[in-house]
Order: sequence, then C-alpha cells, then structure tokens
Amino acid sequence: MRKLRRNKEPEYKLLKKLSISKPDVIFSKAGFPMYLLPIQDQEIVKIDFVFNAGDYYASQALASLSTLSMLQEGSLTQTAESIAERLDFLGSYLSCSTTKDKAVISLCSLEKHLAESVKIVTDFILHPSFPEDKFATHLSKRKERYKIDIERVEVFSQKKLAQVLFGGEHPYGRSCHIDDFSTITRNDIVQFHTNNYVAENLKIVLCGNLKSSEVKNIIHYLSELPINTSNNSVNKNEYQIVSDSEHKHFIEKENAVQSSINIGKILVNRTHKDFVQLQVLNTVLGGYFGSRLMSNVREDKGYTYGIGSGIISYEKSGYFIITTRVGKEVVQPALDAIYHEIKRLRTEQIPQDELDMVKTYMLSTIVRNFDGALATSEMLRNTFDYNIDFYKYYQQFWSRVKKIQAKELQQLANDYFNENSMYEVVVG
Amino acid sequence: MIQFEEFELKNGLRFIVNIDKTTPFVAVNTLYNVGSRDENPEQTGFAHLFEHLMFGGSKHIPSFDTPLQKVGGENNAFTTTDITNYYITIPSNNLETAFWLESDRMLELAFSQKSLDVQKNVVCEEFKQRYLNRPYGDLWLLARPLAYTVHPYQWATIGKELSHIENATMQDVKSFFYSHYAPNNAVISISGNVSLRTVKHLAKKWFGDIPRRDITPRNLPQEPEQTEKRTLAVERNVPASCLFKAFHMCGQANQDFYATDLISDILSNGKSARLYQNLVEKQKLFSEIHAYITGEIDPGLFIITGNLNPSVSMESAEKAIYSEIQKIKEGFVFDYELQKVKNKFESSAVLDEIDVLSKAKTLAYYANLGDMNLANNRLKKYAEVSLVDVKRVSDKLFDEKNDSTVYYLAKQ
Repeated sequence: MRKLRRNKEPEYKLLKKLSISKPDVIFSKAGFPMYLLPIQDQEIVKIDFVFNAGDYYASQALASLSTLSMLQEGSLTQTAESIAERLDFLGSYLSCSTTKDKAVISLCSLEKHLAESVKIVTDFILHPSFPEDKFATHLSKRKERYKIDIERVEVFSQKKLAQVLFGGEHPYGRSCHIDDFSTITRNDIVQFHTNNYVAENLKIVLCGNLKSSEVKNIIHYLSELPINTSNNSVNKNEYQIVSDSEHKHFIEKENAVQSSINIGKILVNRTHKDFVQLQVLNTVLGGYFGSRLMSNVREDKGYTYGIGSGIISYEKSGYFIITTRVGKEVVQPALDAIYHEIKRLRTEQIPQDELDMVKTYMLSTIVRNFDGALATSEMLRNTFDYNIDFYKYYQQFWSRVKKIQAKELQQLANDYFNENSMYEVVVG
Repeated sequence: MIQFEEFELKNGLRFIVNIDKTTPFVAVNTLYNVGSRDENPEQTGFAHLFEHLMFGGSKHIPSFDTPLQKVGGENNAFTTTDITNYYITIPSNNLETAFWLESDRMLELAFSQKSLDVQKNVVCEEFKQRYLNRPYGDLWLLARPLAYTVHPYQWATIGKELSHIENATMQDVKSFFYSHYAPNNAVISISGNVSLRTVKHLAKKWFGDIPRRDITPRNLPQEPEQTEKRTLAVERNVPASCLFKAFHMCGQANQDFYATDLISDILSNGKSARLYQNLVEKQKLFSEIHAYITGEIDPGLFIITGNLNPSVSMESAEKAIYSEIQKIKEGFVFDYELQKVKNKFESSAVLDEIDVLSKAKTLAYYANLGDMNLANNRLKKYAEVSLVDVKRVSDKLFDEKNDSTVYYLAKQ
C-alpha cells in the first residue's frame, strides 16, 4: 500500500451548477398568490402566510408586532386557550415573526393534522377578536421582555446604530420606547389589522407532499379563502432618511466588562445592480468564518469571541453593518484593526487565492440554501420585498459571483466603503 | 425512521452511516466521548478550550478552516458537560476532504503556542459575553454548585472561573489530548448522498492507521441523594427578579428518563402548557416561565425558571410553582394532556429527520450513549409512558428535599 500523504489535500470538485426547484404558482379567488414547493418522503407540511404588515407600514413602533402576536389570542369563534390547546394537541407548531417590512405566520404540521390546524389558523388571521384583557397581558409581558433586552449591550447598540443611520422618525431607524407600551391601544391594532391584513398584502408559501390528498384539499381550501380586499389604498408613506450629523457615538455603560461595537452606513438593497458584488466584498471582509475581520480581530489578536459584517436589505433601503463585542480595555485597538481592514479593501487588490475561496464559499452557500423545499421557501420569501423573478434572480446571483474580478471589487470598495463614510456606535 | 449501517475499524473507531439521496450534501459528525465532567476540578473549562484548539492546525495541515472552505464545506463544534462534538457539511463529491481534515486532527494537533495564547483570550471573551456581561448570564454558574456537591456537573462547560482558562499550559493541552482524543474514544456519523462502500474505503484509508490510545478511565464521584432543600439568594442589577429551581432527576439510561421529559412538557411545552396558562395568563405572577430537563447522561437536573412580574413577591411566586407541581404529584393529569405532549414529541421527531446534519448528530449521540437503536426507538419509549409513570416519577422528583433554588433578586 502506498504511504498516505497527509500533507496533501485530496482531489476535489467544485459545484458546477445551481439547481433551483421552481415553485408552482397559483392565484386564489381573492387574488393573492400561492407558491407551492414539493417535499419528498416526509409527511410534514409547512405553510407561511406572509403579509406586508411590518413596522414600515405602522405609524407607531409597537403596532405591527402587537397585531401579529395578538392574532392567536382569540377569534370570533375561538378563545385563546382553545386555539393554543388544539394546536398543541395536534402537535402543530405555530410561529409568528416580524421584520421591518413583513409579518409572517408560519404553521408546521403533520399531514394527518393539517386540515384542522390550517382552519384554526386562517380563522384567527381573518377574524381576530383582540380581547382587551389578553391585550393587557400581552403588553405587560412584552414590556418585561423589553426591559431585559435593552440591558443587553449588543441589542441596545444595534438599535442605536439603526437610529443614527436612518433617523429616529424613519421606520427602519425607529425603535420601541418604554412609553410606547402605555400609549398603544386596542383600537390601534384593530385598525392596523383592518388596513394591512388584506388580500393585496398576502402571499402564501406551502411546502409539502403536493400529491397527497390532504395537501391538495388544503390548497383548494386556501385558494378559496375569503379574505377582504383593501378598501383604501395601501399605505404609501414615503420617509426621508436623515442620518445623524455625528459619525461617532459612545455610550457609557457602568459595570460592563465588554463593549459592543457597531459600525455601518446606509447601503443599497437587493434590487441594486451592485448588490451581488457588494455581497462578495462583504463576505471577504466579515461574512464568513475565515473572513478578514475574524482572522485579524479574533484569530490573530484574540480581542473577541466573534466579529462579523452583513448587508441588511430592506424593501425600500438597506444598510451595511459590522458588529462585535470586545474586552473593554481593547476597544481602541479593535477599532483600529476594523478600520484597517476596511481601508485595505480599497487600497489593495484581493489576492486571487482568497477571492477564489470566497467565491467557492458563496457558491456552495447558495446551493446549500436551495437544498430542500424548506430551505428554498426561505430564499423565495427573501425576494418577496422586491418585484423580482425569484428563479432568474438567484441564477444571475450565482453567475455574477462566479464571474467577479478583484479589480471590480477594489473599485467598488472605493465607491462604497470609504472609512470616513462609516458611522460608529460603541456601548460599554 | 433513520436507516443506518454501522462498522468499526480495528483501532476501535466506530462509524454510523445514513444514506440520503435527496441532497447534494453530506454531513460528517465526529463525537469525542469527553466533556466538562471529565475535567480536573482545578482546571475547569478545559474540554471547551480544547474544542477551540482543534481549529488551530493539526500535524500535517496548518489550518482546518481554509481547505474546508475552499471546497465548499462548513463546520462548527460544541462542547457539553458530556461530549465534544464536531460537525462538517460539505458537497458530497468532496467527502474525502472532510475525512482528510478530521483524521489529521485525531492523529495529532500542531500544539501551537500562538494558537493556545489567542484561544485563551477568545474563550475568556466568550465567558464574559455569555455569562458575565448579559442579564441573568451567571444563573447557571450559581445553580450548578448549589445542586451538585461532588459530581463534576457542579461546574458549567465554560468553567468555574476565568483564571482556570488563563492558567492553561501547553503541557496540560498535550496531556488532555492524549488521554481523551483517540479513535477508541470517538464515533463518526455520516448522513447524506454517499455510498456505504465509499465511506468504508475512506474510513480505512484516513483513520485506519491512527493508533489506539489509553483513555483515562472515567470514574466520576456520584452525587449523593440530596437530603434537604438548598437555597441561594443573590442581588443583581437586572430589571426583574428571577426564580430558578433545580430538582435532581435520573440519567439518560434510566427508563424514567422519558416520563421525566414528558412531565417538563406537560408543565411547559407550548402555549397551552400548565405553567404558562396558570401562572402567566391567569394568575399573572410571571412574565415568562419555563420547565425543561438538562438531559445529561449522568443524573441531570429538572429546571423550573421564571421571571417575576413587578411587585410580585418571591414567596408567592414560589408558592404558585409548588402548587402546580403538587397537582402533578397527586395525579391530577389527564390522559388527553399526556397524549398532547406525546403528539408534540412525534412531530418534532419528524422535523428533526429532514436535514442531514440533525440526523448525523442524532446517530452519533445514541451511538456514544451505547444504545444505537434509541435513535429510532425513542418515539416508542415516549409513547409507552403512562399516567401511573407520571405520578410515580413526579412524586420522587418534586420532593422538597430534592430542590435547589436560586432567588435571583433585582436590585431595587
């Protein structure tokens, strides 16, 4: 037998193509689209009800989240207790989440319990009763959680950065304040529900065995869902982004043993022609474990447990953020290291080895993100904020990443990532 | 149902393989049978620090992450009180790269001083970030030594204190490696788009020549039965007071493990569960409350913990919890309720079988536990739990003498 050569890497193959299973799209009687993705060999079904009912559409900070959380607290025909009891008994999982733009109700259920679970959920989405006493309990629970969250330096400083970038009046920069819990009323959420939980604002994504009769029946049921259409035009508020005049913000926190650092700036969103290239640049800087920020600030200097960067894409805008927590005594050297890495993107061309690795990493991540119906459904939802063709978009994304050159990236870094254009929030 | 095949190399390394042709990826999960329970009480946090060092280069390969990323792989690891678990997902064409990397660090680490120095810092920052610099972060650091007097579960995986990590030397690192990291102390599970033949071939090629090592025999002091309620009151700068209760429960191998787990579900799994409905919604004593088991291999803990609403006294909060557990002890549990938590377990088990990584983790976990069939038989074990079991187990579990409580008080 030949001696094993352990210092030489085995042969490998790069992924050659991206295969995306295209969802079937059908339109309901009320006019909303339903995207259907097949799951093989598993009797699990997942349905997402995605409404354009995020913070962006609300005039106050708590309205979107409270409306969503209160849906399951009672309908015209079911009490909160019976909704919870029944869904738990059926072994169905319900999760509700909001982003700045969307409100999402997700139901996960075994096929055999699908019909009953879906009927419970659609009933409270369409006909919530928003009981006063439940609303009071909801607010008091939320308020307690808020008080704890805001004590966490990383939560506080990310909220602060969003506010510095977008301005406190903009829904992307606005965050909830302790007083908001006493000013919001039941009427606010009733109104928010009436205006925003309508057919024009809804998209449904269903993952399941599309050949089973249980699933077929539910698709039919959903296609006849009698959801109201909007009686007034959807909120067309336009907001101005007003970034703070000060670039650097420091907030002292007594007794903290670590400081939270957030650095960022307003950037383009997913629809912009430079978005994919910026994603590559972001990955090089702080988007994966081997990134420059991780290598420098964690693996070389040991200042932090973790550091990363990302591009947050909203429907109407987007921003770039670098985030980390470091020992209080090394804040300045950590900041210096971060700015050094940003600057290096502009002044030096990315070496070919490194760029190849980042591309491979990104391409395999994209393939991974389309591995199976559940993963695919999340990618699909990512494109709901924009009027873009899901399939075409990701195929283009893939080929753009493949083609990109170091020279373009350096130019892009000079256009977008000047250190002096960054905003900085340090808490601790 | 997870189908699997097993085989073992001559050096004692076990492989468990699940074939899944629905994905272009494969997950490779390497579990070492060492956790924080195996640490010297004067050198705690070591198993976890060691997990970090496993990424700092091995005998023939200077970096673990770079070559993996180059072929589209992703990886991470975690350490618990019982095990240290490393996992990779990679396009299945490149399975060999995962074998090459994992085998070299099982063979021998690079033992680089720079890596040790840096990772000591990184782990200290992790300690601060997760346990010191966040509200309620030190709860477990307080609760473990209260509940355990002799068993090494008395310290958390991160370690008792920062100094234990700061004082680690290269000599300590080497001796830890050679006494715990070995083919005969590990299990590798694989799930994904591969063939058994390929896996067998690669296993022999890359892991076959790694020598067996003498593993320090595990001889842990067993925790004596607790004879009286223990309490600890601390004051912290947090927005709300928190009540934290820990009851000693049985270990994983005990047949009562399943009933104990279901009792925690009856109390706290889902919005319809008792603690939430009665103490949050109806009596409004807590803003949130949870019950769960640590699920450790040796006898672990059954936890009930909740944050008190403003102006609720610790006394009335505790009384309300006692009254809820008293009902269960007295057998006030419905058939319907037991069926409900079994149904929930069933669907969560189905969900866990969707992706290759969670399948690989499950397989390795039960292989290490010594009863491979539990990977699939668990469902049956849960289904068999009766109301009689629930009453019998809860009667023993919820004894006041078995209770260790932390009163975590918000500074006024």
